[in-house]
Amino acid sequence: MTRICFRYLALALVRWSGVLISLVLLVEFSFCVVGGSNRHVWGFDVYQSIPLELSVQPISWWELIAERSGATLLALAIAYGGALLFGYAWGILAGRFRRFRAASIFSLPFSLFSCVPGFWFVVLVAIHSYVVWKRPGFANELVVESGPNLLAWWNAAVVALPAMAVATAWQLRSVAGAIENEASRPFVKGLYLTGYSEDAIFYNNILQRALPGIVSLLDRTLPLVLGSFIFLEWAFHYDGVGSLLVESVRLGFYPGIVVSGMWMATLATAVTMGRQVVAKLLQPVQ
Amino acid sequence: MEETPTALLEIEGLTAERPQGMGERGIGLRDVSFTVHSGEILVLAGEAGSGRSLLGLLLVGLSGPGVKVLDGEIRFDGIDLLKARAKERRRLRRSEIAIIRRGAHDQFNPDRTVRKWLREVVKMARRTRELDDEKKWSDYFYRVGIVEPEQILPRRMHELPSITIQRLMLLRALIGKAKLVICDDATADLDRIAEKQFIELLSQLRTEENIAVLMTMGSLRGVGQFADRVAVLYEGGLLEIGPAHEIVESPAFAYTREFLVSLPRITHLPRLLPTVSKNAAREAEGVIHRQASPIDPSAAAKD
Amino acid sequence: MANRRTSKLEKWAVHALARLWEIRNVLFLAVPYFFLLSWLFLGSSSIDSRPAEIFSVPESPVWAEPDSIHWFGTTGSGVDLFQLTRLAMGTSVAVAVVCSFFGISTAMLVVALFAFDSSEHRFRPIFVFSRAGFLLPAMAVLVIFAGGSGGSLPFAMLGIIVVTGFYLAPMIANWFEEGGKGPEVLAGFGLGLSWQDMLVGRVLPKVLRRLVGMFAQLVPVIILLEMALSFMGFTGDRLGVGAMIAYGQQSIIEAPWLAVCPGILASVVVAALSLLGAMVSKVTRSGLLPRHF
Repeated sequence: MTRICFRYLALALVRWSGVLISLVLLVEFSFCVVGGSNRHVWGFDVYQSIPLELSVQPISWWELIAERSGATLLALAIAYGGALLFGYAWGILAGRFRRFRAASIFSLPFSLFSCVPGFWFVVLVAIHSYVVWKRPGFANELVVESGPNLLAWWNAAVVALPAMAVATAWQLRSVAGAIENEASRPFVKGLYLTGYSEDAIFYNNILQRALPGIVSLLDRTLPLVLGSFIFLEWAFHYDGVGSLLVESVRLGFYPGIVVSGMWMATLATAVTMGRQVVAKLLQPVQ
Repeated sequence: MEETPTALLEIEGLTAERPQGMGERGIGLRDVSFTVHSGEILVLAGEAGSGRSLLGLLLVGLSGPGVKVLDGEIRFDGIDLLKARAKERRRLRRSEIAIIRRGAHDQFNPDRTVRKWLREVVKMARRTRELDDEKKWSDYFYRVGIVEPEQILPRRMHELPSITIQRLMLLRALIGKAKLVICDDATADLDRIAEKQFIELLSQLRTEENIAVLMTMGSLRGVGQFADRVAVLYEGGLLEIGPAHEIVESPAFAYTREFLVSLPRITHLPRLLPTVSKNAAREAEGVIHRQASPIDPSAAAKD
Repeated sequence: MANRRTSKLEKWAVHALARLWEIRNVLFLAVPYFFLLSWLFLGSSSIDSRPAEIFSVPESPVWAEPDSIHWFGTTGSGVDLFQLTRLAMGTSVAVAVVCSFFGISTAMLVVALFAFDSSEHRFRPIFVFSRAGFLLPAMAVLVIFAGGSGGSLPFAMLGIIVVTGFYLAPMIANWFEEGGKGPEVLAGFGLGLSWQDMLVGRVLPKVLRRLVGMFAQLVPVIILLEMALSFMGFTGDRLGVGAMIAYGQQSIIEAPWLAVCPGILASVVVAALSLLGAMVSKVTRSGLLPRHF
């Protein structure tokens, strides 16, 4: 087990390094080669203090990353967690009722919702906020004296909702598709012929065989969610890592671009590694 | 006076249609009637498209969504299978009706071990109390010719040879106390020796357990050796049925005669390569569509 | 009576009609595409399409709420918002079609570099590279490239094409691999055909058929990408639905329809194209997402 983890860790480090090099080259190419800027990524003058546009008050790098990471992780927990929960649960349910076109019916609301431009929600939320709370803001500013920070949760949930819809639609259909692959194998008819019940065929046979394929989908929606957060956070003026990337690009602040890009890549690498370990553990012993 | 034994399986006037591609539908079975009694082996023979597999699937209620029964009845031990509820049909498939198909490895989850599969079979047959211990399975293994069960119990289904799988299917029939075993082209994947072993085993179990066996086959090869009765299907209809030795030695129709022999004709190489001669096919069609007239032997000799 | 010899033209006509009949479902789907795209592209193009000009609010704005004449209302300078949105949407669809086409072509080109190699792991470089590349979200790459290059539409399109090609290359490589293991290919080996012959004659036609569904599903996805970039200001000062919503936010209290209505039309058009794309991929048994039941 330890050897497996080390092997995947080494692989993850190699990929992570490749992403870092690619990101630095991308920044250099985009800003300098194409954009014509004479400030290079390797120039010392680039690595100065954090621009005031990124933070209202002087702040250290660590504090900036911690603050932005916390906000994005909160929204990510809702979006990614929701996508996995709904995607897997409804995908398996759709597989169970595959004869009744359940996958099409279950995925329809998410698929339709994901056709709506996510940044458009900022408009609807702002109007709702103005109509209901009489302020053209993001949310009500009533602060709870003690207990969980409901305002932060509300803000994070609004940002997470459009991303969750897109990711859930994809996850649901992928899970249902993986189940369908197994359900269409010839042995399933053989099981019907020998008197197995629907539930026994589905849960004890089809789902068990589809499990490795389903597990391999664990990390597929994370880049999709992180990518959505880039423009959603910026649209909602939500101070997260995604909006840090956009603001840094607009300011031409290379360290901000690289740090925010690598933050996302690090998270994706960690989740992919976790998925690989889980998939390895679930593999039947030969 | 000898009593006529009660038929275990009675098929009366069964007519069914099925999809034929390009949105068209065709008749899959035409007014088929026959019975199967306990303790007998009935071979249902016919070429591809004769409806023999369709009949097998209709018997277990899994013919597919496109198949429609237009007329007729199928009664098994007094139960109308066409009108029975899905739960009842499933109960019958678990115990009293066992089906063994071609494509041995497509009858189970290939990842299952034999041990786990047998436990499921025992549970479905509701004999967990009697057969909870693996030691009690040894008699069943012996009866189906598996002499070293401990070698195969931990193995996965996809690792086993086809003949072993067909033996395990017979074992399943024994555990479920099946009254009827339907072998749908069950020997198609087996070599000649394995086929011989399987048929011998089937005959033995038929005698010991008084099981009725309905075997569908794509040829009449060797049926005289093991079958009690033979029925010949042609284009969905029953051409003739009778004791095996009568069908083999003196078939009533030229089609059956030619189907029995089924040797390629090297001297004539017609463009469309028909399976049987034109006269035989015409005669068989006439019988099926109730316009039969016996074939003229001299005309048959010229052909 | 002797058989009349059918002429080559008659044979060709019969064959063509039979082929058209086989793909009648796809042809049937072309009708809504035709109507939708015609409606979008035949909108008025005489409007000044620079958002800064359109959405500048004069001292006495003359905007009107949505009514029976101006379905989406008007801007502060009195321009009909419905026509503007239609024009913007048409541009987005045109950009998406071009980017989808060239993105798929780029992916095919990349795959073609490795496809003619007859070794078993011919596509390994593509899979290895993509496994690392998928760690960085595509949106991040687009934002960096489009923003860094000055935020203009041509560079945004270039970025979308490259990213699309990168993401589709492993998928298409998988299709080639699947096709290379089919029974007809094995039969071809038995007949003595070379790998190149089988690739061009047997594998490639199947892959090309699957590209239709892929293209149909890709267009609405790229429309949303383009709108997001436009919203963030990375497609230059040109009319786009994203830019319209961004500008509309500035007057959200006084004239909420400026931001709300373009989003409604965008959602409807993207949903219609997504639905059509799903139907095309179902009919052609191909596409980006796995087929569901």
